[in-house]
Amino acid sequence: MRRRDFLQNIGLVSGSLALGNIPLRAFAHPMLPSFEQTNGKILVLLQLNGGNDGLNTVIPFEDATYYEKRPNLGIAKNNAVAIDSITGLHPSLAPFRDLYENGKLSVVRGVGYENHNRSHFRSTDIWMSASDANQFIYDGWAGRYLHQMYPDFPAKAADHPMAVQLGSVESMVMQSPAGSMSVVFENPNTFYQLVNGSKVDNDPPPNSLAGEELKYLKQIAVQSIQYANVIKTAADQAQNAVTYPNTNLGRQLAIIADLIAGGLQTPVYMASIGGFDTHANQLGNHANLLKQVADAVAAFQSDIDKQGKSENVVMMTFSEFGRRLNENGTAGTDHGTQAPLFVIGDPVKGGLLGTNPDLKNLDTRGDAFHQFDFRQIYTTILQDHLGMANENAQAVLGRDFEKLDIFEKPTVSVDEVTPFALTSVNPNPFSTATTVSYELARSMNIKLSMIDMAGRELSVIQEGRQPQGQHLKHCQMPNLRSGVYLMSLQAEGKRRSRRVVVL
Amino acid sequence: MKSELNKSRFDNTQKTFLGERGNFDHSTLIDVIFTKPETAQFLCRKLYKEFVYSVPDEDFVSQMAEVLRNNDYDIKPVLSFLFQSDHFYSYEFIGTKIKSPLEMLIGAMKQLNIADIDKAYIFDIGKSLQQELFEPPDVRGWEGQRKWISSATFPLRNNYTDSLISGRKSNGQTLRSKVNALTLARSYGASEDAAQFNEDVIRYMVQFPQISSERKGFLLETLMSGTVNWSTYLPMAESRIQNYLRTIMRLPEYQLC
Repeated sequence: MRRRDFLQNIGLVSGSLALGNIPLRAFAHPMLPSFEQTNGKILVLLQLNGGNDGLNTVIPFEDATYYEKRPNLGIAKNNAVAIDSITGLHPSLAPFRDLYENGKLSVVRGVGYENHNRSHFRSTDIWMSASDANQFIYDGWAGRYLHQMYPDFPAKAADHPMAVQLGSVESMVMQSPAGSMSVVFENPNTFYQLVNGSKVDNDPPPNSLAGEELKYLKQIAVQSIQYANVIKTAADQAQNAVTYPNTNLGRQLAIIADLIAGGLQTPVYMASIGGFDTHANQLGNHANLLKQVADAVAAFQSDIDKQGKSENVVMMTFSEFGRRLNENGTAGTDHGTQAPLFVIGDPVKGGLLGTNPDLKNLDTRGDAFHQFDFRQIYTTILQDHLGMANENAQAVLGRDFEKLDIFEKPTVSVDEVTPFALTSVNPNPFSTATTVSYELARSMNIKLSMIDMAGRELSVIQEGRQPQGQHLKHCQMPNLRSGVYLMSLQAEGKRRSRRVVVL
Repeated sequence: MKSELNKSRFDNTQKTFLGERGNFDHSTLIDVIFTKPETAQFLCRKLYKEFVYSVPDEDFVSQMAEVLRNNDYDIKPVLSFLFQSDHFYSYEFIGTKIKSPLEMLIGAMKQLNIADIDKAYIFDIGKSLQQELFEPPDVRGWEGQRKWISSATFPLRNNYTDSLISGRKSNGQTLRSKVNALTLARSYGASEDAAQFNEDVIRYMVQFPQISSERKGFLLETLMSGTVNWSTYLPMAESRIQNYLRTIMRLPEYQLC
C-alpha cells in the first residue's frame, strides 16, 4: 500500500467512528455508499460442517436401491416430508415445507464437482475458494466478489463491514487478494466491549516479510476497531421480531437478522453449524442437526419477513461433500461426493432443480455422480441475486459456468443500472473548494449535489442535461461545517455517491 | 500411544499402498510410509514452518529432509542442523511468525514476571483464541499463522494482556496475580533513564525487528505522560508504567515473534 493511501485510510477510520454519533435514520437511507456498491442485496452463507448426508436430507423415497443400501438408516416414505411424488425432506426439515409451498425454498439436487475430493479440509477449501479439484487457490469466492465490489479496499474502507462472520475463526471464503474482507465476532455487544478504547495507529508497515505479517495484523485491528461501533449501533437499533430456538445456530441467525433489520449495510454474512460428520449413530444425531438448521432458518425467514427486509435476502446452505449411499458398520455413513443444497428466501423461485440421484450408476467408490457444478449456484447468486455482470462473475469464479433457474426475477446488473460514474472528488478532504469529476455514457439529465449522511440535500452544484463524456466541475462550499458528507450524482432515477470530508 | 489390530475388521489380503504390494497390517503399513522420501519432506516442512517462516523454502526443506532420512528419522540431528544453519538466522525471517495463543499467553506472563499462573484462566482464553489444548479443530491440526488472527481474536489478545496489568478479567473478576509494575521496571538496569529504559523494554518485549522511531517516540511519550524528569519514584510512576506496558502489548507488532 502506498503511504498516502494508508494515511488516507486513517482519516477515514476516524470518520467511521464519528458515524456512530450521527442520527440513526441515516442507516435507513438507501443510498449510502457501501450498499450502493452491491444493490442492497444480501447473501447469507450457512455452512454445514463435516459433510451433510444429502441422501437423508432430500430423500428419494420411491427408489428401492436407497432402502436396500440403507436398511437401518433409510428414512421411511411415510416419515419423509413429501414435496413431490418421489421426493421428501427429512422429517426434521418439516419447517421447510411452508417455505417450499410459498416458493421460498429452491432445492438444488446433485451438487458437486469433477473428481470430488473426500477429505474434509481439502473439499472445504475447494468449496470456499471455488477452485477445481486439482487447483489450489488461497482466497475465497465471497472475498473475491467483495474485492470487485470494493476495489478501493484496503486503501479506502467502506462505512459498514463488507462481510460479517459469526464465530471466531475467519473462513477462507472471505479472503481476497486484498486480504481479509470480513469482521468476525460472536456477539455485537461483547465485540464492542472488547474493542472499546483501542486506537488505530498510522505507521505504514516496513517492506519486509515481517512487515507483510504486520500489515495483516494491522488490517484486522483496523477492521475490528472501525466496525465495532457501527455493528453495535445496528444491533441496538432493531429487535428480533420472533423468538429463535435456543441453539448456537439460532443465536447466530438471530444476530444476523438483527443487524440486517438495524440497517447494517453488509452484503455478505456467514453462519455455521458443525457435527455433520456422521460416521456413527447417524439417525438421532443427524435428525437433531437438521432440526437445529430448520428451526433456526425458519425463524430467520419469518423474522426478516416481519422486519420488511426479506425481499433482498437470500441464504445458501453448503457442505464440503455428501455421504456414501451404503451405510457403514457403525450405523453411520462415510464421506461421499455430491449432495443437494438449499437456496432460501423471497427472491428465489422455489421448487426442485435437477433429479434425484441415479443410485444404480455409481462411481468406483460407490457414490452417485453430480449433476451440477457447485459454481453454477455461485454464479447464479452472483449474477441473478447480487447483480454482477457475467464477465465479472467469471472473474470471481475463474471461468464461465452455466446459470441455473433459481431466482424469480434476476436482479438488474449493477453495471447496467449506471450509465454514469462519479469518478472522483479531489481534493478530499477539503476545506471550502473541491473538484468533482464524473463520466456519462450518453447525454442525460443529471443532478450533482452535496448531501449529508442522513440524505438531506445541502447544496445543488449542477443540474440539467449534460453531454456524453468526462466532466470536471469545480465547486465552492464555504458554508459547510466540518464533517462527513456525500457527494451525490443522480441521473435516470439512480444515484452514485462518494464520501467526502470537509475540514 | 499403542495401536491394536482388530482382526474382525482387518482386510487379510494383498493390498496396494503407495505403489507397494503386500498384505500390510497396522505396523508394516507405517513402514511403507517411512520408505517414501515425501515423508521426510512433509515432516521437515512442518518444522520449517514452526521455526523459520510460514512459507517453506523447498530447497532448504530438502536439505533438512536428507538429514532426517540419514538419521533414521531421529528429530534431534535435523533440529541441530536447522538451528546451526545461516538460513535459520537470516534477518528477513525475524519477527515473521504470529505467536500461537499459548506462546502469547505464557510469553506475556513470563515477560511480566508473573509466576503464579491461573491455569484455568489460561485454558479458557486459549480456547477462545482457538487453541484448546489437546483438542485441535480437525485432523489437519492448527494451521497457525494468520489463521490465529481474526477481528474476534485480535481484540481478545489485547484484552488478555490488559488483564495481566490491571489484575482484572474483562468480566471484572479479580485475577490471582498481576504484574508488579515498579518491581518489573526496576529490574531493568536503566529504569531511571526513560529513553534507555524504553529502548530496553521494547527490545525485550517486542520481537518485531523494525519498530519505527516514531513508534518508539510515541511509547516514550506514553511512559513519560507529560513529566519531564522521569523516575520510577515519581508519585504516579506505577500507573504510568502500567499504561506503558499495556500500550506496548497492544501493539500489533507484539503479536509477532
